[in-house]
Amino acid sequence: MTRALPLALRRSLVFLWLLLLLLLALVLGVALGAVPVPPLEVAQALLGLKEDPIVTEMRLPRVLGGMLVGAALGVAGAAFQGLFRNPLADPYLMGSAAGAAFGVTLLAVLLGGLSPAFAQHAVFQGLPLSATFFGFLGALLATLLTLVLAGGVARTGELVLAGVVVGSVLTGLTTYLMLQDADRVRAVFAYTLGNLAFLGWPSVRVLGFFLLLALPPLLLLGRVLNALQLGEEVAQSLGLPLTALKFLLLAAASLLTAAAVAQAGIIGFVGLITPHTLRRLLGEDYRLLLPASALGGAVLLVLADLLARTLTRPAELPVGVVTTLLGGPFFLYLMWRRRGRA
Amino acid sequence: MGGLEARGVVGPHALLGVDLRLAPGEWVALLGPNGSGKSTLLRVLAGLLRPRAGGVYLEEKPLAAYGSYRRGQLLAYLPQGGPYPEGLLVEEVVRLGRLPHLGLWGREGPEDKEAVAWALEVTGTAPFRHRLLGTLSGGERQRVLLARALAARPRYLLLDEPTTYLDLEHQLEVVALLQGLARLGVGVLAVLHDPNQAALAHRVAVLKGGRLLAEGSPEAVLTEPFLRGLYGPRVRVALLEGRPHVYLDG
Repeated sequence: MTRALPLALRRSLVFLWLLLLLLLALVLGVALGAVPVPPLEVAQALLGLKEDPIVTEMRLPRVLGGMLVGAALGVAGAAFQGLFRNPLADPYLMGSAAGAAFGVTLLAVLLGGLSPAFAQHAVFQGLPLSATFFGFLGALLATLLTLVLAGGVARTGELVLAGVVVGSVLTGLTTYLMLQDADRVRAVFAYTLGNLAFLGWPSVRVLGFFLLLALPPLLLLGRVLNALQLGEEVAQSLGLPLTALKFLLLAAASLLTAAAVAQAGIIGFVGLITPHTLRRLLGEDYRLLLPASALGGAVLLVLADLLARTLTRPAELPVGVVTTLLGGPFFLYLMWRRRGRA
Repeated sequence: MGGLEARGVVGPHALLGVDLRLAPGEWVALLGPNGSGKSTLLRVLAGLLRPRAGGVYLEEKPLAAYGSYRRGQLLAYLPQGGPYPEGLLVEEVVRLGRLPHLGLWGREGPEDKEAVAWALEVTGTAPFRHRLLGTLSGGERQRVLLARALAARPRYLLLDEPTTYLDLEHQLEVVALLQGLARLGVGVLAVLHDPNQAALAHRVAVLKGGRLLAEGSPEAVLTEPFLRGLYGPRVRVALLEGRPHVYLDG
């Protein structure tokens, strides 16, 4: 029984497990697909002992990029939940991801039609940095709109309801903008559903850049999120400059969301499932929960992508479909458990 | 040392001009019916709400003139109820009380560790230090939150109904702890709803309708005619060992 283990030991084991799962996800993610690559060749290619273009040019950037997207979404979810002291806050349910997608699309349209690269499943690679910044603005505005509509963060139901409304409206607008380029409808839908198939090395670099920018401040603010769990008044009485800190947390989480969405579309529920599962194992200390959510999100998304690539072989499902199919029941389970408690 | 002082505090909400002074080493009970403005006054004194008129002075200097960390070092505030971080270790909750001394990036030194150990010790929560807050009883949890407030080693402690969720034994323990803290030189102001606990304080202040109705020693304030006016005609007061004891007739 893990429950019987001392908490400190359990926490170390959770991190060890996460690292092992991450390694496993890396190997499986590279080995499996339309053309399976034997594990030995995967290892040789990963270590640079053997050239294999399927591994180095296709699978590896997809798996590494997927890890970065998953890490970004996992941490953003944990940060939103801690910041709003609301267990159902996540980039998808808060409308933040839809806001980012709207920002990215708006930029593409402003620049005169969708990028030509779009048709070749390489969305917006011509404008990755600015796309993320537009996505960032969209995510920030969408989150603020959700907060205003929900009348604050305290009422969980209202927050999710407002987030879903904001998300739906923005997704509608995004789809409308994208359909202006009717030749590429298929690719458009593949993108809005959330897809890792677009990820190449340029995406990995852009994701890496934004994660380096947004992750360290969040990881350093774990203590602030802990203090916020005592209530805002207490956090304020402890002398913390709350207004600035809350904005910094919101901005960093929105930037992570935008970085993920700009490269991989709207992938739901990773930010909900990951922190929740880890919170049950680790407790709610955000100094641990944030880095664990980065690892857990990376594992979850790569494994989900593995399902997306193999379930309907040789065709592929968008990974967002898989995470939504996993996340829907998870969401219902959370609601059911909360009702059981109340 | 001028203590912590409200001078002519008007607003926000219910307060209509309140003067109240808390000296170091003094323990004052704040009584009053629901909606009388007790919690608001406590928040104003903690610097969490700004009065519309009048001001709060900390050792003869306007409270607003202190930096927020300095204010947190001198004043600790414990709200009533409020969210509980169920998934945090007791020790981490108490260590959060050192934030006014550490700021965002400070590293804990021996002084911080000592203060945390002391706060755990005096509240009797040291045995739970490695447990999650959510696994404790309501009374144990309240004592941990009190330990968090004490960990800053504040000069003034502002508590909103610190005994509400406790069983009788732990209520008396908390009251005894407040008395002990006052002996150590801490100024303690506690909102209480039980006049019998207030009777153990050095001084009782009674708030009603946003005004200070009475202030003085428990014997002077907690008299039968006064409490009948406050709580209704069935209130009786007996003196037990020189202290007022309040009960209901019938």
